[in-house]
Amino acid sequence: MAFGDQFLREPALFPARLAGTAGGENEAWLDIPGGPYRVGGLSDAQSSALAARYEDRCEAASGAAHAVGISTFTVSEDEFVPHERSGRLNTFDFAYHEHSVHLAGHRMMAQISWRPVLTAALWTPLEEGPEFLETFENFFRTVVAYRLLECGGAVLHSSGVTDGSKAWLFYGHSGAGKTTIARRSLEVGHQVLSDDINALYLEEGIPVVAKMPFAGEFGYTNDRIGPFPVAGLHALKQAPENSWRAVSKASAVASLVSCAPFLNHDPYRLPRLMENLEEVVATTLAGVLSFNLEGDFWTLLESQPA
Amino acid sequence: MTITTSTVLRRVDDVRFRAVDDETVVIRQEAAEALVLNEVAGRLLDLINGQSTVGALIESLLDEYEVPEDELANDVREYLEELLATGLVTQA
Repeated sequence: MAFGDQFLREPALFPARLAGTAGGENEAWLDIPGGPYRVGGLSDAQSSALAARYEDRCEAASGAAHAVGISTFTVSEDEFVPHERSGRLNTFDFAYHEHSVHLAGHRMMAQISWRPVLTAALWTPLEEGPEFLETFENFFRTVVAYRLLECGGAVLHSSGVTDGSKAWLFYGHSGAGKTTIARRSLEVGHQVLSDDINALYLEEGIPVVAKMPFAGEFGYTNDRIGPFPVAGLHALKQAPENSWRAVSKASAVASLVSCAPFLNHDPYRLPRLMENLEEVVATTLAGVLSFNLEGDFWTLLESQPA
Repeated sequence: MTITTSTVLRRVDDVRFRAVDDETVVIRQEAAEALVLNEVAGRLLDLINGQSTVGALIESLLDEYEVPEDELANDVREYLEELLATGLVTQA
């Protein structure tokens, strides 16, 4: 099935025919890692929805010159293939190009492009309500992932934990134990950024981790946590006994790439992703944490060299 | 398939790789699968271009590594079988 066939009535015309008009003249400025992000073209209802969702991470106006521009447009429902809502909302079709990425999904289409700086646009008939928010956020997470690539990092499927001065990322696919790690970390007095998805990027050449308010049992809140320097990157593996072993830089890069959503399927941006992660692991402790669900893995980790 | 010195292989289109220290990170981009090759296997993957025969690949590696030819040829066949099995390369 070609790009957009399951979502768009005329995928071949997207984005050549950028139908749609701005829903309104409102802007929202989102303070999220890699940002700020300036979201324009919002109706009153859409800007109110974003303000309620992102609370004090969302400001009516900021004016930062380096903001990432995101335009939103309202398009006719006729542009889209009718679907039952359930089960499709989180699924996008991606089409990767040298200077842009196209996305098509349930009642949405979007473009991320470099002209030469990163800008993004979203077309949707959704004007308000939970479905607009969910659609926006799924699109927005993708934008943030691409933006963090430019910041020398990546979005990682991971559990992020901090002691208030440094942070650890425990990464792995669904079922690897990220939420369990988060719960055990809380028990020993650490703070959890997100147990699902975290921002890893360079700040003045130093790898740092910051909370993204997007997903997970601990993640869907707007409190600002971080950025903190990265103290360790640990791939998760459940096992009967707790153990930790160092891995080579190449092994760390390989497993990190597989946990970097959105970007690891993009042939044009994959080389940059590998380059970024190589730079991160060059100065960061990286290993595999094999752990059982009950044991004290923190004592084990704290005994490793920094 | 049987690998001979006249066999010609090519990398599968969605394979991306990067040398990191003395290993090579390989990503199957469409599936986002990742694996790590040792130095010689990584160099072999780099040399595979859809035109050079296996014999030519061995000649190239002999110029780079001080290893007896028989030993290197055996290693190359073994690595190529693994690259074929993992779907990173195919017959040109």
